[in-house]
Amino acid sequence: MMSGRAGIGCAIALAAAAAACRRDVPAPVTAIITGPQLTFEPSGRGTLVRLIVPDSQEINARIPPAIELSDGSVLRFAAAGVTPDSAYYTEAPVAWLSYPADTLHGLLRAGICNRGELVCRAVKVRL
Amino acid sequence: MRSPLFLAVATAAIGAGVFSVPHRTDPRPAPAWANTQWLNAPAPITLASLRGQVVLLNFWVFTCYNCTNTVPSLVDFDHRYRPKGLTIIGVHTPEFPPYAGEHDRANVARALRRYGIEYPNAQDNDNRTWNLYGIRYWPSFVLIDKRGNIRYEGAGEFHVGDANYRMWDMRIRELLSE
Repeated sequence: MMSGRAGIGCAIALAAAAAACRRDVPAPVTAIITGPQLTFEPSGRGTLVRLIVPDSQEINARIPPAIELSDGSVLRFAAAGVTPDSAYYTEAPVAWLSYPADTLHGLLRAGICNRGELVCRAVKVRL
Repeated sequence: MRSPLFLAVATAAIGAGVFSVPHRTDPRPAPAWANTQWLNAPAPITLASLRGQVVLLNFWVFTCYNCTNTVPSLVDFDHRYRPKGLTIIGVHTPEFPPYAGEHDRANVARALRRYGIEYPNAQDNDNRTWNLYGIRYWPSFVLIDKRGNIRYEGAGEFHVGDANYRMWDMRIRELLSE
């Protein structure tokens, strides 16, 4: 597994090749659920951040994921693709970070559901 | 390869399970909540004031799809059993901090109107009642008997007429008949 900063650094190093790099998110601190990953892709002067979960999980689109940045601001995720009932994303939600990913610090929050379990869980991950 | 910590958490997830049907618990006194912000109630409702009633607590949040899908069942229970001594209390517990809007009273009120919820709802914006009852999932349910004891607990979406609905219906009738 890539270490946190090494993972981000990888994304930066590969920018010239327009390649994105995947970084496993550390284990959640408040919920029993695993698997969410963040990917970082250089975009203009900033970074496109994608939240990806395994096929066995869904991200709640009624309360978009967010990263509470260390400066107090909140980075919101969004995606156009949602299920007909607007409950879940059908594509990975993205957020645009105005600076390189290697300086990203904050708290990721997302509502992530295991398919078929019929409950909502709050996931908090310190970045 | 995932770290050992990842594996440990994954194992815990499998072992934890989610009780989607009402499961019997050893009767124990329900803890008294102290929420001060209520909707569909003229004044804060205390647990002590409900002695002699069967109480169904529903921990929910309007941004939770599984929660709102279950509301029709709760509305149905409310219509059928309120006259017989059931009090349903919604405990609206936000999932995100205030910036997401779940803490706003107007948003909760809008959700109550949208889903036809007429039973009382407490705003649990500090998660205190959620923590008091050891809740982990949205939606969760706690069924309290007329003496103020927790008798059944469960979590997860259900629908009018399905197996879980019938189980909850049976448990409510059981406690009402005591």
